[in-house]
Amino acid sequence: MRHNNVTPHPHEPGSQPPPSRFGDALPPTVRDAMNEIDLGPLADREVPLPNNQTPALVEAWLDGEISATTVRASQGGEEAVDIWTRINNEAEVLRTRTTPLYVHKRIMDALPADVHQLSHPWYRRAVTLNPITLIVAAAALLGIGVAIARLMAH
Amino acid sequence: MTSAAVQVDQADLDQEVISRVLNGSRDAFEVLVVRYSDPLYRHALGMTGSPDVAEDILQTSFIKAYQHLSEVRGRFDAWIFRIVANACKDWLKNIRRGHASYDDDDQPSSYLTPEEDLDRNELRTDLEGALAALPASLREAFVMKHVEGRSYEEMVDLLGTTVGALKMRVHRAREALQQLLEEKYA
Repeated sequence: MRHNNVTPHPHEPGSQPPPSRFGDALPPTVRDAMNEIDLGPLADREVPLPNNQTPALVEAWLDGEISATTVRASQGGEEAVDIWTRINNEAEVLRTRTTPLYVHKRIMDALPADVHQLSHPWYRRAVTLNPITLIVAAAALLGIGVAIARLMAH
Repeated sequence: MTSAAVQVDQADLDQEVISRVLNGSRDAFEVLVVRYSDPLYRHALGMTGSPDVAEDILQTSFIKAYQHLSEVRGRFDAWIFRIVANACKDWLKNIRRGHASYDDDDQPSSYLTPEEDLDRNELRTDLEGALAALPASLREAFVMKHVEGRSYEEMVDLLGTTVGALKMRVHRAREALQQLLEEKYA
């Protein structure tokens, strides 16, 4: 069946719309666009069909829903695929960029000192156990023990 | 392991590091800097187009995060992403008002022939120009989808909006970019 927009063939009132040929699971705009491109070579038509569905196809392709071949088959699709392939290649290069290593050091050097030490009272801070801390703690406990023993002896 | 499970594990690990920092271990913060700087840097680079500006935004954002670390509720990566994203939008607002300077990208792309490099740099410059013409929210959606390669679901987690709204922003950004670039490249 050939279509042109000089003698359009609207559906008869009350008749059923033609069944969708493919892509029933796809969004309506994409499905319409895919049906549109199944109409035969453009050169065979008397008047080129207005193809404002290409953006919907390009969108679907860029979101990974359809293949590039489908988009290329649509009017203006070839150019759209080419341009987006180039843009995506450029985006791919940006995606591989990593933070320069000196930036990590710069950030750590710029952190304000004592922000979190000051935000907690002494009794909520973590205690680091090292030999000196242990000796001090043991001496303090011994002192307290001796003081209690003396008090009890009196 | 599913990505949700990985995210939960990651969130637990982050929480452990945050506790250490809050207990006074300043050096522990470097774990978070190393873990998250790359995706944040790419976001800032995509949004501003300038490595120098991206580095500055990253630095100020991590310092801000360090100072307000006790206010983290939920995922650290989403929280710091919002700090960086807001800093980028503020910078874009300022540059449009002429309050900030814009440096050229001084990091040339490697492993290309001089002709390819020239061609690519031209496209990059044009793409950058076209992105600069977009409103910040459209640019953000485009950068997250195309440059960072994120799924719509990830974008929802980070931006706190709906998939439909994000699809619309990406669609509008693509449409605008294609219009701006197709005359020259199609």
